[in-house]
Amino acid sequence: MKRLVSLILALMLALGVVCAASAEEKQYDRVTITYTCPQVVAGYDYNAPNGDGYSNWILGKFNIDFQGTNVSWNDWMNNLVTWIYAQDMTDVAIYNFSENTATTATDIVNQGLLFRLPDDWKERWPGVADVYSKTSLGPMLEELYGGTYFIPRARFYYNLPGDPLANHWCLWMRADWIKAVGKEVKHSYTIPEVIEICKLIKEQDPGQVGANLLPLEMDTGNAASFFLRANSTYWDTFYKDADGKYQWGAAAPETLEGLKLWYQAYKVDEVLDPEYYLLDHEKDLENFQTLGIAGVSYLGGQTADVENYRKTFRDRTGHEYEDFHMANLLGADGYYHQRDLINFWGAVCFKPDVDPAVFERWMDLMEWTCSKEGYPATSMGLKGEDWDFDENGEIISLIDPQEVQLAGAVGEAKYPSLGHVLGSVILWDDLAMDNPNIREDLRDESKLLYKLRTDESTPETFTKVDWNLYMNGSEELLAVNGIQYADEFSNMITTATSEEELVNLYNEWIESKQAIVQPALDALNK
Amino acid sequence: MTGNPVKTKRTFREWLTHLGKRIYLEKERYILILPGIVWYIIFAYIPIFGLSLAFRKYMAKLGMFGSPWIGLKNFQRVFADPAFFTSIITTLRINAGRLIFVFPFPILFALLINEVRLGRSKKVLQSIYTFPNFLSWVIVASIMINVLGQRGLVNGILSGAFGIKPIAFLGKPEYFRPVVFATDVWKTAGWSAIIYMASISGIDVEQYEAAEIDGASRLQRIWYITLPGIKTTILVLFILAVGNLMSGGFDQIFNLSNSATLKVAETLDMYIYRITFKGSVDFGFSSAVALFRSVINMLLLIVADRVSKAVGGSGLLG
Amino acid sequence: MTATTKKRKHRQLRDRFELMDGIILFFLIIMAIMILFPMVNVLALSLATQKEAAENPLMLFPSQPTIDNFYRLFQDPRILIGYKTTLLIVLIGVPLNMLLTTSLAYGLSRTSFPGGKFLFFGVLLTMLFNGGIVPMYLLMMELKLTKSLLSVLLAYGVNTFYFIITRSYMMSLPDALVESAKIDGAAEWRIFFSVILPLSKPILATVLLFYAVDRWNEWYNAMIFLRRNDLIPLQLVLRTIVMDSNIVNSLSIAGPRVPRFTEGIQSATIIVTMLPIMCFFPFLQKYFVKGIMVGAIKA
Repeated sequence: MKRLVSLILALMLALGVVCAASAEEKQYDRVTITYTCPQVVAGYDYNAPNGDGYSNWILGKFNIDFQGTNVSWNDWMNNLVTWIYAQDMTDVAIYNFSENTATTATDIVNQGLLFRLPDDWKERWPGVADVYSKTSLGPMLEELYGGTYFIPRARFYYNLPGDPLANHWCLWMRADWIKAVGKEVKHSYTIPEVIEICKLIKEQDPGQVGANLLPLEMDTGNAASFFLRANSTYWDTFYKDADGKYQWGAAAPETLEGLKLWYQAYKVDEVLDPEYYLLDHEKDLENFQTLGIAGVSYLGGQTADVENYRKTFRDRTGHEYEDFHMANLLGADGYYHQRDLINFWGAVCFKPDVDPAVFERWMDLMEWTCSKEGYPATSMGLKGEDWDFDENGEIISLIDPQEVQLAGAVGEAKYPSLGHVLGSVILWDDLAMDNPNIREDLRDESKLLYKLRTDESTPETFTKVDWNLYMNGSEELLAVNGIQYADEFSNMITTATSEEELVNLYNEWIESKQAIVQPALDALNK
Repeated sequence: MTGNPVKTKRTFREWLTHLGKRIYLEKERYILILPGIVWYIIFAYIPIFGLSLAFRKYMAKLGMFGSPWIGLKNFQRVFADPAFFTSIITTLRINAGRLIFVFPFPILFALLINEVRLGRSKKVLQSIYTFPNFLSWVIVASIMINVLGQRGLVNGILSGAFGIKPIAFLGKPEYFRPVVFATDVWKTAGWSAIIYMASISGIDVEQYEAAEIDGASRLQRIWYITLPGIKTTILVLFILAVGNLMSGGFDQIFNLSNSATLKVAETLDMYIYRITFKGSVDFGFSSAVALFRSVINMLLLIVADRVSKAVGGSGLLG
Repeated sequence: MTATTKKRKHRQLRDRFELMDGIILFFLIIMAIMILFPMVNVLALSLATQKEAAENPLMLFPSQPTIDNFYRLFQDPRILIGYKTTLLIVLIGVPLNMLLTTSLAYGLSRTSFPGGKFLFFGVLLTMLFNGGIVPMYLLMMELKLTKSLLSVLLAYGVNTFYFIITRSYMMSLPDALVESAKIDGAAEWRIFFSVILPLSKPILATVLLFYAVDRWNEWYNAMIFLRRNDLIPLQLVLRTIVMDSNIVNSLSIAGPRVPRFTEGIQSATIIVTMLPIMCFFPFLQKYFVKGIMVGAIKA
């Protein structure tokens, strides 16, 4: 009897809680939503009871049965476009929008193979609309297509470092070695300054590494970024000159200048890894971070990772955080060079005949992930368990980041579902700047580097995106887009035996590409 | 055609009856091949018509066969790039080299393994030779960097024993093809040898016994019995390899090449990869290249088959 | 193997072990070492720590062996789904492959029947021409096979190359056997099952092995046709795990980035892939590795 009473009491209590909850929350019917993205963990069941604490909670909150499809990075666009063209895509998909996929995007929109968002979507989901307005790509596409088909996901929203947006790539340097050879540890170095430091490191070997020492360590792609992109803003594309005519950046004098610096570092000063062209799968990173045999590298520096990198470095080499220094790279002219990274990565799109309930549910989910409360959750987990707001509304962590790994691989991380899969429209970079799980001084340094990239540039060296070029899908331009600049230039470096020969190879190459470059220029200047 | 119509009609009818009889006689054979043929029609022939995309602009809502024709536009785009033709030459050079330097090895392996007298060791050896087949080219390439790199095993031995300065085996265009052939033999010869070994197993044992009695030497036995016994297999595989001269080996080239060997490594596959890898998805372009490649391969196959027949071998095409 | 053949073989061994045998064996053992060395290296890497592997990439024995890499693979719940799916694909797919291939190979081993040549050329042509993935996908959709394992099973029915080698083997069988069976009034399928197939054991074992390995390694079709989390084949799971451990950094995408030992995990996946095949290999091997003087195929 007593039991029965307590059971009834408990039931009533539960009912009360549900009623109270429903007072503030919408009551959702169950919907099944299919989704494609390379970040979906293949074979992982996100749904309760099989998912993790976070996925079970958020999918429960929105009452979604989530069916994710993983595509591998290499096959991403091929598979997605195959499914789109076959009119058999998932309800929601992430389209890898870029200069190279823009033509296909325009084609599928024109063929009516994607869902056109209702015209009032911005009023109904104001949070998403505001993030969308800061992605540059979104509003531009909307104007071009006369409606919204893509919702680009913003890299930054609350913490946008600048417009144009800087890339995070930066110098990784051994501070202890720089000091040992009598050079200054600072926030920015020009390319010749770095080569000079590497020369001293090579001569003095301050770390006693011996024969394995790699003063300047980077793979072909990173070397091209280091010597060419950092020196010549348009090294691998077209640009408008002072007269408003399009020119080919590979033929610009700064590109040749960068190429000569590359040659100097490789064959004259011999500071660059003699077999840099064999490095792949982040071997340059490994040599710096895991083995501690490299002096300077040019690698990623996302705020989210600045501590992770140093942690691995400390664990593997025994050196403290302080010996691992990150800095900006400037061209020989002393300015920071880059083209707008554009504040988005990957765009959300829907299948043309998506069920309105599915569409609305996903929009609601996205709306929640850009709210003040939802946005920390997408990278920090459950509020009240992993993080919370203090009395000032600041985010505080409730876990020990040294002990608990929140996101990551299945079997290792607390929440493998964390990431950009479950609705995020603001990516990780943003919260990383406020994330208390990352050491504050490192975050501050990272923010400073972002700021300096803008400060140490001019509008000519750090430029905004040229949408006319970006969206240009002419066949002439597509043919030029196939040139792999980094490999082509690197080939000149390994082939040449003197600077003179390098210049000859360069001129011959420029000449040989005219067959496809000139038609593209003509098309652009028409 | 000069015969009078009545006569033609009669022979036609005769021919038809005759045909009907022949078909009836072979009815069991038709039933036997039916499942295979049905599979080919559905899963190979229907999709083949997708190649018509090379001449069409694909419109999803109109379907594969309703999409509008655009003529040779896709081909014009393919042929406009001089790098396309260079890549064809590169492909043919590498694959012709394979015919000479790689193709004979599985045969040699099979013959040698077959000559081993100790039953157990023979099986063990043969198993070992098949191992590398299970390594992906990514792995083989990273092993090669450790073996052939400037700090690798071979350079270590060369400089240790002879004081030779490190050689960039993987970074010089002139070493690229030899490295491709050597690694190809290393990885695939043991596996491919299985086909020849199966073929050897089918040779009539009495022939060997007779040779034994006649006192034939080992080389004579190989030359007069084993080799003729597997000649058909060799020829068939050779003709197929010729018919494959324009394709193949992408994984290998992709993983073994680097920016230093760019000019000798850009095969047709690599070219297509380069043009499409940044994510521009263009089925018309891919279909045009695929169609072009298939036609060349077919011509090569036919030539190889005729030549094989002309020199007295048996052809593939009957 | 009968007692006499055994005895004969031993006598041979004693009597005829010539210099030539020594040379051949020497050459083959050298080759075996060249192959074993990197294989042992892969095994060692799979058991090593990242630091040791980076310092000494050519190692043969890890100084502090660890099963960390294997542990990482097997703690992943997807591995079980992978094994289950792949096993299904192999167990249903390979018999299907064998049935289609061998019946067609025998049926077309003689092309003198009406339409025979035409059909044979038709089959050959598919080796040269294929329409690519889009038409295949549209076809699978039309047949309502996407999201069903049948798509993966049927997409790879006959490998034309294997068909050709099987056919050319069957063509090399003595005609007399078929003729005598025919005189006895046997139907074609009787001849096929009771005369041709038993005589073709070496090539059947070979093609069976090839199909089994192809099926075992299958992932691409599953990726594009299936799109189901409860049906992903082993190789796709392994690929994902390796890729998880090598998250693409160069695309400037922020995301969780935990340093993982890619080479170690990759090596472990190779071992995991190879072991089952190697266990199954000897059962087939006996059909194509034979002594010259032993194992007569003639009944």
